[in-house]
Amino acid sequence: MKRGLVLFFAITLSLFFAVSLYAGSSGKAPDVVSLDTMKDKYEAVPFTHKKHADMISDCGKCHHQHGNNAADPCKDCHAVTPSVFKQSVTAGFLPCRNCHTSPNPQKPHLVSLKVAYHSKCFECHWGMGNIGTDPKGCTELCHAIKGTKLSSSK
Amino acid sequence: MGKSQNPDEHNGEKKTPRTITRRCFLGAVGALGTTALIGTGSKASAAGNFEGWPNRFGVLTDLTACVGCRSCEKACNEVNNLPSPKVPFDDKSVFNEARRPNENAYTIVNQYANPKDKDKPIYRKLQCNHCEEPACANSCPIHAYNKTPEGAVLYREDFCFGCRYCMAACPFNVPAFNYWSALEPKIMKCTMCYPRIKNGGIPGCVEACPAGALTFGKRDLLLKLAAEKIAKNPDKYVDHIYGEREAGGTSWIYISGVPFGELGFPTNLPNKPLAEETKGFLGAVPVVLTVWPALFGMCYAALRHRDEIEKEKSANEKKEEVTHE
Repeated sequence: MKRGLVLFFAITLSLFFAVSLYAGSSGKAPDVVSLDTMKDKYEAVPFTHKKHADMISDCGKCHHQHGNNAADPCKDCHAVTPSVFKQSVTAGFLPCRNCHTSPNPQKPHLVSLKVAYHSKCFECHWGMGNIGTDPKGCTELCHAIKGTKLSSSK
Repeated sequence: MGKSQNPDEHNGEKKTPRTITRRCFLGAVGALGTTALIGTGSKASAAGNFEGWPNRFGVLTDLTACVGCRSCEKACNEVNNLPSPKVPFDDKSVFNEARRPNENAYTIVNQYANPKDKDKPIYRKLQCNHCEEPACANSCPIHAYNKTPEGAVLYREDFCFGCRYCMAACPFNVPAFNYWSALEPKIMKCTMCYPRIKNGGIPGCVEACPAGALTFGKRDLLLKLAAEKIAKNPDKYVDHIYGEREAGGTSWIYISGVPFGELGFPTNLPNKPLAEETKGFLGAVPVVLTVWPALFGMCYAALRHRDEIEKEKSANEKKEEVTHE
């Protein structure tokens, strides 16, 4: 009986370490990512990836991940195209833009890259500063209009 | 005098001026009555069993996602070459009053207080909803409106003669009249960016939306997506897809976190095309104008004829009495 209890704790502990190692894999992740897909209109957004990753310490909050119950059903990603499936099996990480392209009327479930980024930002930042309450807020706090600077960095 | 003394002679004379015989009258009444019935009965089958174009597009608006950035308004202005607004697109003072789409802005965003969280106001984008069976098109006397197989409801200014019935008929107050143009005024409203979607593109406002509040796609897929969103987040959304059935269904459909009535949506619309409400009346107008005058005219003629006969009869009887005396 005692043995069983020890074994149970041992398994729980090893699982705990495995999960924390998995979560800690953000160490390999980039520090600051420059989001510049809309560079014709806005200055690139210096996204402090590491800072966000350390703060949230759960990659699954922003990225689709295996083993995350909140994730979409497998087919939602793997059935996009056969090549994407192959890639996502061989590569550890896929850039968001591989699947999140420009809006596709045939696949309304698949949000565009712009929406994928923004909806993640808004999950926490809605209401922070003026975001979501003042149209100016976005260009003052995150991405300055081309040729201007963020008010916070002035 | 001598003529009418003989009753046989009298009957024979009566026959000659009678233009409407009893048989002729009953036959005509029967025929006209049937025509009248057919006329009014046709309203039920006028809409037919047409369920809409199979691949028509629509837009799903998720009112819980909109952050009021007004990117859609800006994009709409640019795509449609509309005049630049007095108040810039990044000025939130426009939210102080409720606006409606007009000849200078085919879409506008209004702000509403959020009863769930007062720090996160709710924003509602207004534009033409591109009804499945548009009341504007039905009210138009000369078919200046056209529901395309892609779903867009289009207005043709070369047909329009400016009666503005469409403005009165629209349950969403969408069509706007450019009163400032004295010589060639026209109705102005959202076109669902028809030239863009015709070429495989998406509407300007949808492309511009960063928040995922607008999704363009086949209407039937959007209805499924909306139902899925509601099913996955029953606490976030009210269990209603606005525009699925309202006014017979609209291309632009909505899901919301608060009841639609609190966001200024008309909630008194029937779940059938508004044209159904007026079809009976309007269908009866030609019948009333053509059949009724003939029908009642004949009744009047018959009654008058009977009176004449009776008058004649009584005159004859009097004469007969006089001659007898």
